[in-house]
Amino acid sequence: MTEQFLPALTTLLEPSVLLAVFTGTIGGILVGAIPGLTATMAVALLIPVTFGMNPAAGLALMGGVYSGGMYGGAISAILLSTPGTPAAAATSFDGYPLARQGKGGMALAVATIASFWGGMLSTAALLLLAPVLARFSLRFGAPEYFLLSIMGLASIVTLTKGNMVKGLLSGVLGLLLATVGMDPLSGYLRFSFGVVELYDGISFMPALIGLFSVSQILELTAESRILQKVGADPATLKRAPIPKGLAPTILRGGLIGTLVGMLPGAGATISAFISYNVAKQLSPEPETFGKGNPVGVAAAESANNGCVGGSLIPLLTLGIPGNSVAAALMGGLLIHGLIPGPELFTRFGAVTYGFILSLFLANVLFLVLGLTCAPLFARVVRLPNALLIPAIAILSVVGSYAINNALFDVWLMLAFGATGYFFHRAGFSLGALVLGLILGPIAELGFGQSLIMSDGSWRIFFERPLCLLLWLLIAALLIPAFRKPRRAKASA
Amino acid sequence: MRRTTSDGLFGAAGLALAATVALGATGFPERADAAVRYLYFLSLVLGLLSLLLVSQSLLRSRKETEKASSASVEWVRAPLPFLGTLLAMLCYAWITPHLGFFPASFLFMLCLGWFLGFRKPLPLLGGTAGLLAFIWLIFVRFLAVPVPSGPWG
Repeated sequence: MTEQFLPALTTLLEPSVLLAVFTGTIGGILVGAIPGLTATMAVALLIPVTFGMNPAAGLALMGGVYSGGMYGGAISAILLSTPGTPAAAATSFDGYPLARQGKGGMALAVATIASFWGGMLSTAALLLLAPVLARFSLRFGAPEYFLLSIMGLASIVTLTKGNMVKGLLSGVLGLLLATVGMDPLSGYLRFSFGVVELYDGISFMPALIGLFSVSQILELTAESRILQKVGADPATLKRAPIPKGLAPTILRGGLIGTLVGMLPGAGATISAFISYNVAKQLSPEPETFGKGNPVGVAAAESANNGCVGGSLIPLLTLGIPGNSVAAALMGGLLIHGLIPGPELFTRFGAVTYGFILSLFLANVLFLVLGLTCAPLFARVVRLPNALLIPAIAILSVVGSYAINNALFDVWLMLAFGATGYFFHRAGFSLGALVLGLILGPIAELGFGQSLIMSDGSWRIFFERPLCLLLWLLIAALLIPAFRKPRRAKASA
Repeated sequence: MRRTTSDGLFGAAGLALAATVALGATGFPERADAAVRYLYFLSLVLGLLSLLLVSQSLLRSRKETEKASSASVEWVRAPLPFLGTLLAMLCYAWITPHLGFFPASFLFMLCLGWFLGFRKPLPLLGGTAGLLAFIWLIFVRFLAVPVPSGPWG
């Protein structure tokens, strides 16, 4: 590796590559901050643009968008409670309450620093541990994937603010909605009612934008300004002090993000939720989570940016993308003739290591931009809702339409938005519903494949060592949550 | 509406949904056996959780009757802006293919902004034009993001 380092550094210092990292990071932050536009979409759209560029600059541009996009999602999650990217959904749980308390500047600074360290940690892991760690993720088979999604569902219990039954119901409803469309194993069409647009299932982005953006718009109609009660001054956002004691949470989140990011299909959203829940479980004040605890923001942000490097480990070494952005990036690698595998680290070492080094640079860039431009971001929340509501609605239409070029998705987004609003009012968890939608396809495929592998025997979920480990983790998530009400009753 | 009544209704709806899904899965062909078993599994979990919610709401309802106090659900805090916004969004989605994205968005932002109480014509026009120019320049021109097309844009 060391012999590749100098050529890689030379590649990184080329003006075109530096410009690509800079442009990509800024573009990524902007795209990530706008609800409905994801890093996946931006990377996918950039692939044809990078075709004429040299491979190092093209990959650096896409890497910058990826890193910046993962961080940018936190801005709107904190200031608007509308996650710019699905991965920032967990950030809004505590980020938005902090903004409403007039601590938006502190929340943004915590998110920036946590994202930076999460990103640096996972990029270091990518640089140093890629081949070894990628081998571990390959041991996951169908039963382990099913249990991984059950583990995600189990984490709903700790995500839920009020009634745990409602939280679990929301998650199961999400799983059920994910079954609409073609069965992944037999190809049989279910619950699509002859609607062609539903044959591929409920499109995830319109559902997400509807649940998090449109329902939020409808909530906002009751107020004239987002921060009407606190009247946040942009200057206070700049000077806000960062609370101490976040380092262990950030380190843990970065590690969770890196490890979960490596698992194909798991991705930044799941890692952010897991990290958030672990932080909540370990906190001496779990009841403060969801009400504006900066530890929640640090846990979620360090984990979702931790996924950036993690998701690239199996991609670069084995050709298996860790998530949808990595899958789009794989297209970028292939059009430049870079086939994932050992050759990337030898024959194309200068380009590959140059790309990895550019991710470090992208992290530094968004750290500087995030810390210095907080007052600019804050201006968004000072806009009157009468302008903000139609503006978010227009951007939501752009975001939901862009994925499939279908107006059906716009109607789907509106349906999810209105339903999500009433669901939220009734005390159900929209975060859990979204988690169910994300986990649905993974759970169903894992479940079906496992039963085929075992000739229909359920014992397959209890026999394998990794399955047993996952069951232990599920129990570790569930038991403390169910002990809490008993403890509360006992103390009462 | 009382919180317990709302919970009871949602629980009952969950039970009905679980039964519908389970019954629907019985009609699947043999090749979709794995999907059927997965749907049975989900229906079972959904049914049990819904039953739990109904039981919880009944127990709480009894306790609340004894204590003569009850929590209620506030469905809509400001009915007029809520319904106006919802209606405007539905009209926006309907009118977009007939006018095109940019004219429809222009009308939508002006009308909804005015309806929600922003009564400064110049900033409203400027904000609308600025947002649409940003979308056109960055998304449509630079990133080639598709937007719904129509006869006027």
